[in-house]
Amino acid sequence: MKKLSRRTALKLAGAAGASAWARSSLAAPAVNKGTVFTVSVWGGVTQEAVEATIGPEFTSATGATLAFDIGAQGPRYSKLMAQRASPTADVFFGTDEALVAGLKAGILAPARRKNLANLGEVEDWALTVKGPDAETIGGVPYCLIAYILGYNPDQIKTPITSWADLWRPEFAGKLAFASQFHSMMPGLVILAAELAGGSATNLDPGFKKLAELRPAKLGFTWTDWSSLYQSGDVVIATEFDCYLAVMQTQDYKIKTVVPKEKGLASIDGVGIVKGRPNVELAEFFLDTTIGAKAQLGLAEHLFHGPINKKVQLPGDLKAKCYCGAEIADLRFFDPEPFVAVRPAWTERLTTEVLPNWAAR
Amino acid sequence: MKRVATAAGWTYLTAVYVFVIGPVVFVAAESVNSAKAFPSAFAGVTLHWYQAILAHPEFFSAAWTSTLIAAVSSAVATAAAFTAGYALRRRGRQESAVLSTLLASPLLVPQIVISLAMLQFAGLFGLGAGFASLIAVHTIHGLPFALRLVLTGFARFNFSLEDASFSLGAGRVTTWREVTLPLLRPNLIAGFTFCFILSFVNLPISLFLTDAQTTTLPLVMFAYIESRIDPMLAAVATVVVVVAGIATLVLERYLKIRLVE
Amino acid sequence: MPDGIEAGDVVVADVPWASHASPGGVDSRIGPLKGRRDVTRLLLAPSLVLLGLFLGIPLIVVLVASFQPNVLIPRDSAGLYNYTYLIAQPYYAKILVRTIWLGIVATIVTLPLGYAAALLLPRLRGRLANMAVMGLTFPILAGPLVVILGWMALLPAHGPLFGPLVRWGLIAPPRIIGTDTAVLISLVQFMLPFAILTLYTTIKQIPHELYEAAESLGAGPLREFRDVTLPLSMPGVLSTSIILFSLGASSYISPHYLGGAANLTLTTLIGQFILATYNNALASAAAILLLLIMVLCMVGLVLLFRPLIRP
Repeated sequence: MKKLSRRTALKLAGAAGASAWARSSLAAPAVNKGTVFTVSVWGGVTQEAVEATIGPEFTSATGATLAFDIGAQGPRYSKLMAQRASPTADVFFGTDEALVAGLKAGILAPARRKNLANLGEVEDWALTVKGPDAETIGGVPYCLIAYILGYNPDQIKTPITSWADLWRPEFAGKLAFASQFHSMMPGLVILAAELAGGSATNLDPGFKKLAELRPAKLGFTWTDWSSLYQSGDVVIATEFDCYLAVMQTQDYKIKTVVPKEKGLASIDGVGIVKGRPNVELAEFFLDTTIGAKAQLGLAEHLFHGPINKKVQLPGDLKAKCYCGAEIADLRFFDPEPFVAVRPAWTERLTTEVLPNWAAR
Repeated sequence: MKRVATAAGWTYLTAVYVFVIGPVVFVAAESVNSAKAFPSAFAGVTLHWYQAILAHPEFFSAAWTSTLIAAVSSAVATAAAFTAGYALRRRGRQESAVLSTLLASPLLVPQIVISLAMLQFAGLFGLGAGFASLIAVHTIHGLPFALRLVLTGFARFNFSLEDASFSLGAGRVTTWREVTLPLLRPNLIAGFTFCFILSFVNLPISLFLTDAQTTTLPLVMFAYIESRIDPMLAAVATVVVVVAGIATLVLERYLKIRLVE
Repeated sequence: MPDGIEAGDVVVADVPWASHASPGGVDSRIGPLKGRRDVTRLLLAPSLVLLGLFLGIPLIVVLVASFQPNVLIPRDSAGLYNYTYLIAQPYYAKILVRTIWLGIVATIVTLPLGYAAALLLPRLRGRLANMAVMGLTFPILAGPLVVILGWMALLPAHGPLFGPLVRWGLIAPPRIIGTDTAVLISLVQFMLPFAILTLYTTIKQIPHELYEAAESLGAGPLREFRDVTLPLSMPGVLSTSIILFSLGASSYISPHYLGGAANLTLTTLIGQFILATYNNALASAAAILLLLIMVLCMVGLVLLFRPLIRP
């Protein structure tokens, strides 16, 4: 019920603010009545949030209604690949790395900067997906989330401050760690290499170091390990801040820490699917997504950190989005090289690290 | 001695049921738990999570889509299984060994692979994901099970009844309508039901074939779990089982259809 | 309802996909009238067309993809290198063995458990019997995802099942989730209803007169079981094993969630290739490998059981 009333409130706010907002943006592209605009996006709460925060603005400005092709990023990306001749989705939500990969693979198309009126309000650190030239951009960011640590303060008395704490012997078999194909894995490999005296160009120590971890469960998302945490089998985990914030709202006893070596920033974004008829409409959708109003709404729904400079989060919400971390506390990676190295790194993790994790 | 054996038998059967149904009962119990997280220690009884489903229309439309896909694919699979089973039994054993192996082949390919291959195949024709592709893979998926159940029926079917009908001058259509189909009815219904259930709950085979207009219930549930897990999901599962249970009872009572005697 | 076939005569007594006949089947070679045979042949068409179109051709797509170069194995031409790569990599070879091992162990455990339950089930009468059969469909109806959520909650060392025992000091905290044990537990639980339903009907279909004959010859319950029930249910046992093995070896959700992702099987490895690194070629090769192994195991099962099945 609470959700419904909030949605209604947002709708009302949207209607009231529409005129003021319309002035600051370009004219919405006109479309035929009954046009359905298909968004490929994660399901569950993410779909709900997009529907609630972007939907009303988008529909009232253009007349087009939103439809959602939902699923995990992997199947949705594979769908785009298989349907490149006749794609069915108009825009694609994914990690910045997936957007870069999609542009390279020719399934996503860049957006024209001149059609993105709100682009100037976007933080520079969020613009990780480049376009092929100065006139375009590969896709727009839609949020910043941070990969950090969460732990049970009842069971862990020595404070957690560093990524290196994951290797503490007492956490053997009590740790939930990213799975070998987690989106943050390339960053974690580099981090482990640095902890072990290596670097981004000297990764062998990193793979070795990772193999020394003793995770109880590998997670792709927090729901993979939440029941083990609830029972007390898992006492410390690596996870996205927005999910840790959700756990806190569900009364999990979990304390969040941004490690001193910095949390790992993750930029998720939206890209335009190549080969669809309504490019202007898609650009308008992107522009709406990075607009201040949608950004605030997404933060409220998902605890996703906004990427629009104008958005000021109220105090309690700021504590939940990137768990109060400042941008300076986070480490940003260029997604471009990750696209190239991921297959080989995943393979190394699978064949060199996993056997050790499984052996225990 | 005999009493001990009987007691041991009952104990064993009870243990098997506890083991098989236990996880489902646990999930159902958590659906009325007033705690916010799933799973949680019991904190009080609430129907809040059932009420919460009402705010998620996507579960309802997906349930309807899944029902449609299950119904159509099961009907096609059962019909195809009937004609195939008939042909196999009528034609004798030597040949049916090879053919029935072939007809069982969908069980041997990983479903996620069938799903992706189907999408690529459909892509060749500009078709892609959607209702038609979903029907196709769900039909294929159900075919071995339908065939299994139909063949059981034919195993005890007396073909001389058909021959008697032919010799009385009835054509094939009449014979099927009056003799064969009525005798096979329970097997056909069971085959349909089995296919229906397996289609309704299947996730991997639909993985790449859903689109914005056609999303199945398992996919919506899976997508929900990706970002959140709460007792509402347990409530959704409980509703599915209860609705299916009621449907089974109605079928049994009013249509005299039983899954297993 | 006419004789010969009864309501609920649903689950199988024979193996539609194995090369032997069903027990008690009416002779199916009764010669149909001439001219009808060709029509009969046509009746196979719908199934074969469906399979050819929606499984055969897609499988050819997969087969062709499995010979293609990919990001991990860049080559200039098509070849068998994806297969040799998978087999030569020690960890992947281990995954291969593990997949078969899980399928076989789950089948071996489930079969006797299900058989015993199927022997006892016919003793239930009336409403209780109906409910018992319906109860078996609950876990299937709830869907694998929901059942796994249940196991994820139940199996932790400090969870609702073992937690109290651990707290009272009766047992050491067991490590179950993330191990083969957890995968096997959920596989057996998932496969048991299939096994029981299948074997139940097989056993029920054994003609009652045979038991009466055995009793009149002075056979006790054990001999009756050895000489009547067991041999006559063998075709059903084989059919059940085949279903169980294919369900076990091809399961995805159980090893993915309960195996803890560090313990890969061929199916989860295929999932990883498709969903995480988008390596269609290696995924296809792994899928074809799995298919070949499954077919080999099926043949093995049939050969193993054949001597046990009386004509």
